[in-house]
Amino acid sequence: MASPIADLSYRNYDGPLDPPINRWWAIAKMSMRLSIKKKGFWVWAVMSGYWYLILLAIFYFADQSTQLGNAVGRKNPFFSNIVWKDLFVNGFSVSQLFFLILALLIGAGTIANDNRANALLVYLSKPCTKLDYVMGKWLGIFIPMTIVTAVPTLIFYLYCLMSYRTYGFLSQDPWLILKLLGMVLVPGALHSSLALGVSSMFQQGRLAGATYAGVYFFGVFFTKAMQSIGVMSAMNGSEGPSGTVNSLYYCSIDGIQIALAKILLHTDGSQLIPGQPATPMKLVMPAPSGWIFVPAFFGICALAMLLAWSRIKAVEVVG
Amino acid sequence: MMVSATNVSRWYGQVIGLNDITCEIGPGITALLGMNGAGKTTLIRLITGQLRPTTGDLKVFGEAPFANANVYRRLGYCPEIDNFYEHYTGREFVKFLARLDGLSADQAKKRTEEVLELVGMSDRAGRKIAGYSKGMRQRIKLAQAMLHDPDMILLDEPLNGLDPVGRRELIDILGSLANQGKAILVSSHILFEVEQMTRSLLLLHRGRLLATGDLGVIRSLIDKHPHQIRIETDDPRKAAALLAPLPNVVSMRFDRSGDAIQLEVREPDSFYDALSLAVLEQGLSIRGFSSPDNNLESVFKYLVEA
Repeated sequence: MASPIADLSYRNYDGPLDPPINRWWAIAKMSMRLSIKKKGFWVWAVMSGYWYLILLAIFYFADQSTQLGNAVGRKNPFFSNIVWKDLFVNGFSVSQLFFLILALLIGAGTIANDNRANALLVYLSKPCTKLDYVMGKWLGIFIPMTIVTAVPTLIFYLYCLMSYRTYGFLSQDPWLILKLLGMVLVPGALHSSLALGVSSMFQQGRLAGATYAGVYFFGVFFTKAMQSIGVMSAMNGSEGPSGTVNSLYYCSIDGIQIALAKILLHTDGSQLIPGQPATPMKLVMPAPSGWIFVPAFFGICALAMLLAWSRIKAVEVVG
Repeated sequence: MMVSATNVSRWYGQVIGLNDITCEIGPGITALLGMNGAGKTTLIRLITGQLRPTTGDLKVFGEAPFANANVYRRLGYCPEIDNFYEHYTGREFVKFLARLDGLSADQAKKRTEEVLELVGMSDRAGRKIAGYSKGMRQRIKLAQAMLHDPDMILLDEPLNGLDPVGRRELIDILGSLANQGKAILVSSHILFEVEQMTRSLLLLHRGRLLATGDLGVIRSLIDKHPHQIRIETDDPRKAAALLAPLPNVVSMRFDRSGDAIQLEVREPDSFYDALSLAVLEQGLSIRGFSSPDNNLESVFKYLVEA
């Protein structure tokens, strides 16, 4: 029978210890657990799919108008004219700001907060490597962001697949689902790499977040300037923006993601609201060259990761 | 020996953190002493593989520790800093680090509860670290250092912030670990409590190793400062008359209380032999004696001032 007084003496651990590999998953899981505990994460994650909800509302009213006009059995011209994959590019484009907010929320402080807390001292004295740490932190941002991007996209895809096959949803691009699966990886990969790179340079998550947001919005202003040049060219009668202006238009954090989405889906995009006429003022910038932007995407991710790798040290260096 | 350092130096740019250290650390508790900036934390970080020596050779369990996961598996480290993830609960934090140590999910859960109980945090581990006091944080740090039952535990200022009961408990835990053959390296400023843990020390000053080994041996080797001995007796004058002629007595004075004399002697062992003879053969009555400077604080002071 056990003693009524608890035995609090030291007990040896005689269980198994896994070999010191794949510790990144423990770090990734812990990072994700922290992320999903934040209310803001859920709020912005839901908000990021808002454009698909608007499209569903538009489709509902378009369906209703068909039925009210006694056009049952006939094809609705609204749906017949839709380029389906452009809907996904548009949904992806308008969600960019929400992806940024999510990246700031779960990514900007990821290393900066560890720097401030000197938590690296503890992590890197455990049997895990710097690679485990970087990988774990990267996946800790990448996985939630990819899920947030993928869920509304795939739900909308399934809805359209079930409802609009007669309008060419599947026949326009039978491989659309695979392309979409590629597209939804882009925000997670870019934001997690950049957020890690920026975060590793700071001791405070807020400062890292402000810097990241600053870089993002600087890019947005640059993009808008390029778009304005493109609009002016179109109004002056030229067919569209020059190749350089078009490429520069995508030289921002959200720009490169939209560029990759267009390249992956093999489309130039179309007006935000299906059926809207194209005017010079509502110029849609065509897809840029994949030969430039695909390597640029991977290069930026690699550089940002390299920056994080070089900055991660367990100790403060004096002098 | 678990740690073996040979002519180890570590520079931070133009600043030297450790200067030509040669020492060995084996099983049992070793106190790492030194003033601020002496190089204690640098030495700990070298041993835990977070820094690489600029020059010299450092081996932990026979291997170079820098970025060596095999060494990390056998080390437990309790750093001085304690502002970890404030959003985690103590239990989450310890369990997470158990996973990093290589414990399976089930084992991590079980072991986490064991070590939390050991450090007296079972009932408070469900709260967020942000709400913890200094002492509670200290206990959580200790818990994570002992998770994987390491062969060597390094503790950087582990007694800071602990209440007296907590200190006593920690000292007992460390004592039991040392008795199992583990090496415990404790860096501390609280000399009185370090002295309760161990007589084995490693004294650093301005990056250099001043002394290493047993406290008593080190004290006996400090010739510059004669040993102080206080003898309580009913007849101080008789004691003075008997002891003053001894060759190793340097000075003597009567205590103000009138029932003791204080002496300064060299070669204390031969003095104690002579004192025994005086008691046995001359009938000197002694109520008690003590050596006020045969302690860690005095040794520390003498060595640093030297």
